[in-house]
Amino acid sequence: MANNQRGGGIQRPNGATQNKICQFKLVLLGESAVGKSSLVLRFVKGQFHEYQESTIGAAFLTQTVHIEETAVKFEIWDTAGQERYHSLAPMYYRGAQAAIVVYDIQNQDSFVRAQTWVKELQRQASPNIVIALAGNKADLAASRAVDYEEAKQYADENGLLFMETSAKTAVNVNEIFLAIAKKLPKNEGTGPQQNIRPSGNETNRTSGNCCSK
Amino acid sequence: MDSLKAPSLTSLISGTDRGSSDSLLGSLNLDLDEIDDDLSILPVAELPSLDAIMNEIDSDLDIDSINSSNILADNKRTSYTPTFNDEKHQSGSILRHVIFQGVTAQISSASERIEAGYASAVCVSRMIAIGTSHGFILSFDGGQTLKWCCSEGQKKHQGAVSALSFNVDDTRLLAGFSRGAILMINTQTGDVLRTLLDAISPNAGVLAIKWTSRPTLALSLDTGGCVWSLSFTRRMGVRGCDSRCLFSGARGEVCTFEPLIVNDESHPFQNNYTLVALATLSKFFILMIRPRLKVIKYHMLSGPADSLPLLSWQMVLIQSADSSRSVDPVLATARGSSLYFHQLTYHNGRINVTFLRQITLGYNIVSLHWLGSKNIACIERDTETLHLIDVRTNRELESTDLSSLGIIYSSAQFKGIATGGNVSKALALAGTFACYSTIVSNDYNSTLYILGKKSLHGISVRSWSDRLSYLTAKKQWAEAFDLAIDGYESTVNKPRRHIITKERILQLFDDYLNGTNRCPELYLESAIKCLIVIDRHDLLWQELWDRLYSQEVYLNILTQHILNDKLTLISPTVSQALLDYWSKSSIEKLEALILKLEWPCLDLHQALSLVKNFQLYKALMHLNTKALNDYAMSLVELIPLINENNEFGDRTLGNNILVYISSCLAGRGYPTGEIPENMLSNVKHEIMRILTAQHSKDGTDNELPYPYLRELLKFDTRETLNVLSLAFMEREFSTELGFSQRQRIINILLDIIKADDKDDNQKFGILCNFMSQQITTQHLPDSATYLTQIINYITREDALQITSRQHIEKEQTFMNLLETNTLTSRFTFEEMLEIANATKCYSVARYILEKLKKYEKIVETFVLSKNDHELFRYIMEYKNCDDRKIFQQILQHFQSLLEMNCDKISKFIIEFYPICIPQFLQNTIDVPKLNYVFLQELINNGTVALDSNEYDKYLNLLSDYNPENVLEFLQNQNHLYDIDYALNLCEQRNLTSSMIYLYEKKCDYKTAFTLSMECLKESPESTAEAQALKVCSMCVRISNNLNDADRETYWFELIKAVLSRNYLSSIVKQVLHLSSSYVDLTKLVQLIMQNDVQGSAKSFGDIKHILIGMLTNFEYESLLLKTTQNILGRDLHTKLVKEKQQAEAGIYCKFLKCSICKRKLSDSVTNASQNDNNQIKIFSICGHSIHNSCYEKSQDECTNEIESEEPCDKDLNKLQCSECGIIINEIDSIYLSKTNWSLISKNDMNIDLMLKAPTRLGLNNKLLS
Repeated sequence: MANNQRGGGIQRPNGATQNKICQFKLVLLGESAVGKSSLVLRFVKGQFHEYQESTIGAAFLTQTVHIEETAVKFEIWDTAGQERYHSLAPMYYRGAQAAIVVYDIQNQDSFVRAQTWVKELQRQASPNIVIALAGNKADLAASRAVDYEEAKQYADENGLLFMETSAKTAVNVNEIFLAIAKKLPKNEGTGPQQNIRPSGNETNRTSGNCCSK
Repeated sequence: MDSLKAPSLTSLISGTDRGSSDSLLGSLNLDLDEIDDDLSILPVAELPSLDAIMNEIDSDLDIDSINSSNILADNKRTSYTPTFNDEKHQSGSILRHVIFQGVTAQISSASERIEAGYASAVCVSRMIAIGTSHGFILSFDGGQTLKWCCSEGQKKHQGAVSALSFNVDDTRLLAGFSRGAILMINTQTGDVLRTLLDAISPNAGVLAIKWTSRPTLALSLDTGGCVWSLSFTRRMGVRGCDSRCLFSGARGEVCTFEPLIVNDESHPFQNNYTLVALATLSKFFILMIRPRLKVIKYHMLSGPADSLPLLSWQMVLIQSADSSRSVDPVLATARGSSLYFHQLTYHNGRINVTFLRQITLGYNIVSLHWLGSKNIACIERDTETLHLIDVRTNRELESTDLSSLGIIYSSAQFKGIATGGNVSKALALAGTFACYSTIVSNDYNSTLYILGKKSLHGISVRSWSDRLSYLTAKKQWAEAFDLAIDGYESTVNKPRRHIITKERILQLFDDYLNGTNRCPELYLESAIKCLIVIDRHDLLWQELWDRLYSQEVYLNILTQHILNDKLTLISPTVSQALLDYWSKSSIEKLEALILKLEWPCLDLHQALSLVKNFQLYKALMHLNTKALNDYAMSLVELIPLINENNEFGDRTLGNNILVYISSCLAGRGYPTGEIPENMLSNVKHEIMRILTAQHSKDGTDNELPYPYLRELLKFDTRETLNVLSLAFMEREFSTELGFSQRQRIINILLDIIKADDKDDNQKFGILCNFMSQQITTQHLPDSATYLTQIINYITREDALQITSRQHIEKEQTFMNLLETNTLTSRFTFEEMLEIANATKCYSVARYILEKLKKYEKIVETFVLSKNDHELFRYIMEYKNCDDRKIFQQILQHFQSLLEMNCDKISKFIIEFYPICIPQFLQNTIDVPKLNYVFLQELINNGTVALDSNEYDKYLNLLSDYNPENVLEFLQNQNHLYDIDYALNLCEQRNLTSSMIYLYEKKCDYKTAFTLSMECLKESPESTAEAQALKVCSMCVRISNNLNDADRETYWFELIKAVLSRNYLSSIVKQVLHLSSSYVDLTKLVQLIMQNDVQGSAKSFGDIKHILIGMLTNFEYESLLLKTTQNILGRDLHTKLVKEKQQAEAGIYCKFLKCSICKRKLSDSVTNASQNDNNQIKIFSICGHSIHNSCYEKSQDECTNEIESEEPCDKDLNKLQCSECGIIINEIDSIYLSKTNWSLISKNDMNIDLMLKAPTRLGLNNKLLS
């Protein structure tokens, strides 16, 4: 496909039709100001704002990536990192098929907090959730406080995907979503949106949302 | 009592009272395992326990003083190790050490009363036999009763008993003596059946004797290192013995051997084969004796010289890689600190030996014995410590100190003292620590028997159950429970043993309850953990709970287990206490506990009042749903409270309610689990009913409609809508009913959130976004009402400042609608494009442009949205598509692009449109700043060739925007600009340093110098020094291009300037030094003096150092000159000496005949003229010589042959020897006149030297040219 030059293969509006579409619910977790929204906006819109205002509540975005024959549509819930929103997180991660736990490589506390999130996910989320750990702000490696090896080891011990990303320079942003897409099971059901079209829908459009059955 | 003992012993020796049980000793009917029980032969009033005995050995304490409390005190000293699993060997409960008191007493008694000497050998099977150093053999039955005593060896003066061996069925005992005799004794009666005095090498003692697997075959080892096979015969009732040497010690003395005894009838090795392992000081063998003698395997076994090889067989269950199992004999061999394991397998009639593994220990060992098939016991040499090693894991399980036992070593036997010491030194040395016959193991009960001087000790490995009992007895409850858990978990896969284990643990628990009556809190943690592991929770609430004095510890431990999900159901009594306890100390724990525990075990009244009291909403919702099955009540009660709490910044309740609603609508339990299937639809319906309720339960009349939803939206619109959108993904909302429900909710939402309300503006945006999502996913009909609302929202050109997040969402809303073609019915694309541009939704605009194929506007949208990342991606993707008009668009928006990312766009242009660069430059001409930036990128890139006036333009811009970089540019890009133009420019901008540089470059040194001098004069104190040095270095540069007068003028002017400033005195010397190479020194001094005079009061001292410097310089240089002359003179002299030596060196001539005419050199060449040709030429390298005339002749011939016109390419200075063809320089050949040489006679030379050297031509030095 001509418009999938970048590794991520983000679907352009005029993208060709795919054989198979899978939908997955993905949730981003992590302390405030680690760059969750930046990561998502870079992935979805290709934009980056140096001064992103902090997210209020959770924001919903979608983006589709292509792996071979399959189009994987991510329904991304970008949660608020502020402490007062933490108790809302179960709403998003219970029932999510994938989660990205983000920390800031300049901030050891955010890494500790990320570990708490991972623990919570392992305890409370669905048992086969795919968890990815993203060490964001990799462009600022000069003032790094969390070692790559340390995080890598932690990720390996807990069976997490792990990448150091940078929303600013777009390093590993598409890659981490793609890695998640690859790891998600694609043969079975297509996530929670296994919706059955109402028969009485007057327009009866059935184009876009086709489930794999 | 004592009087009774003696007769019984003597009676035994005299043989009259064999096996009598009437003696006191005989009455000791002890089981081996119960040595420390009631009966003891020691005449003590109190019966000591095993520990008491151990203590006695260790510390020589008075036995009476050892009581149980003392032991307990001891135990407390041993630190409790919670990480029991990792350090198992610390518990000290594995090895069991017993002293065979009966045997020990008899040995002492025998030694005292019949002078039997100390014990020297032991053998244990079902019976025990002890040999002594004076040749007595004492035999005991399993109950340690002395059966008989044999003094035959002593009578025959055979010295000490050195080896003993029972046969398989314990009917015969073989005894070897240190003087070589071997006795066979009937074990029942003590009768000597055979006496073999000559079965082994004469004048050698017996080192070892063992029965083999064959009942009539035994092996014996003598001090000569030979192994003898003894086959016992009984021909016509006459007992005999054939002894045969199996292995001669001449080729390496055997130190030990170990026959393989297999007790398993079905095993192939049992019947058909007789195998034995032998070990010498250098290797070990596995030898087959029957059916035929054959070495199956031998292997090197090296180690320290003073260590003996050790062997031990054991039948081991081996699980191979292909998961087949077999019981095979495994031979453990060791020497020094290395331990090897070999497996013996039998396959299709072949016996194979497989190497299993090697273990290297940190110490040298003297004894190696299997204790069971999993463990091996090694005794360390230096400290006499027994190490128990787990063979599978190589881990040391436990070690115990045996040094107090007084282990007996058979060094006397190995040194052959009894036979006159005729043993090899190697064997004698290695045998220092031999204990083959004093430390023996017993296959029947896996016990290691150790013979002390007058005592017999047994060491065995306790079974799991025994260890528990042991720990119980020592009241080490923590260890006991940890061990119990360990054992329980290891039997998980074996159901029958699992049950037995569990029963044993329950017994342990009973013991614990009884044992800790007085201090019930002790070791509570281990006990509770153990009960939880074995799944006997019921016991937790019974006696354990009842007897507690204080419940705190118990409750804390229990809480820990509950929070770790180990325990979910507890007794209501306990749960009551638990909640009560935590309600007083930690509310968080209380809530966590309520959430974790199953509700039926809670006192609901207590729990509910607690959660209401403490406002534990999570727990409250949990209890409401689980216990009361009421999913609506929580909402009805709690939603009205949301905003009260929120006002204090406490979102907890609101968040929890949102999560609760979301969970319920998704069919999940709160906070964990699932809602039961049969209630699912009811629950969802109920929740929706509450949300869409027109009025609250007890609302007033003026209450606004939909109070609950309103409250939620007021609390957090975005999250509430998120909850709904998550819920709408559920299947229930995709039915027809579900669709109408959706519509209803959205209608309600629209009712609550008014579009035109200022406060709700943001909320309305969120709602529109939500609706558009619903419409695009076709979950909401795109009916006019909704669309109008949304379009209103989209098209509203925001008067209010909206955040970027809101804008993104708005854009997304717009985009969603576009992509699903919802808007096409209402607007044309052009209209939409207008809207998009007006509302700054540029990605939407881009999308429409793509659709309309109006590519020429696309770059503009990127530029307007300032999204350079995507822009460049787009440009790169379509740079080759002509219809996209990329180039034109870039040109058009070039200025904006430069502003956005000048680096990237410049690179792009340089790479893809290099020829159009002038066009781009033209484009920026009216914005100097951008022009400058672009030019800078181009010039820095370095690969682009620009018109030279572009450089001038750049210089111009640079001097405007960045004057301090002008000089750098001028220096680095010196060929690219027009000097005059630059000069002019610099003059205009007054960039002096650049001007100086340019003047110097133009070779206008005068102006450059004048300018820089001006500069120096003007420069303030702080920069003067640097400026002066700059001028100085310029002077150095230009000095070579100046005439003398100018040069002097410049320098002097500079020096004057420098001297005139006091603060520059630091660099005066440097300047003078540099100038001294270019100006006349006298004038320089003069100048300095003058200057000094002018400067009035300045003393001579100021320039003193200059003059001194000059003088020092002069001195130094004259010295330098002198030294150089010396060196040159010496060189010349050396050269001369060398030349002279060379000239005086003798030349030696190998042949006395001319190599051309073959006549004697002394003969004159007849046909040649007599004058100058009468010379001889000698080649100094090869030693050949010719007449000069002959040579010239040959040369002439040679030249004649070559065509005469051609110039002779032979170098005239080169000569070629006609004999060997070597070419030499003419200088290296010597001419001498024939008349002047004389032949030194051969005889004259040989008289002195007596050498057969070729004849030499002695040449007179003076005659040489």
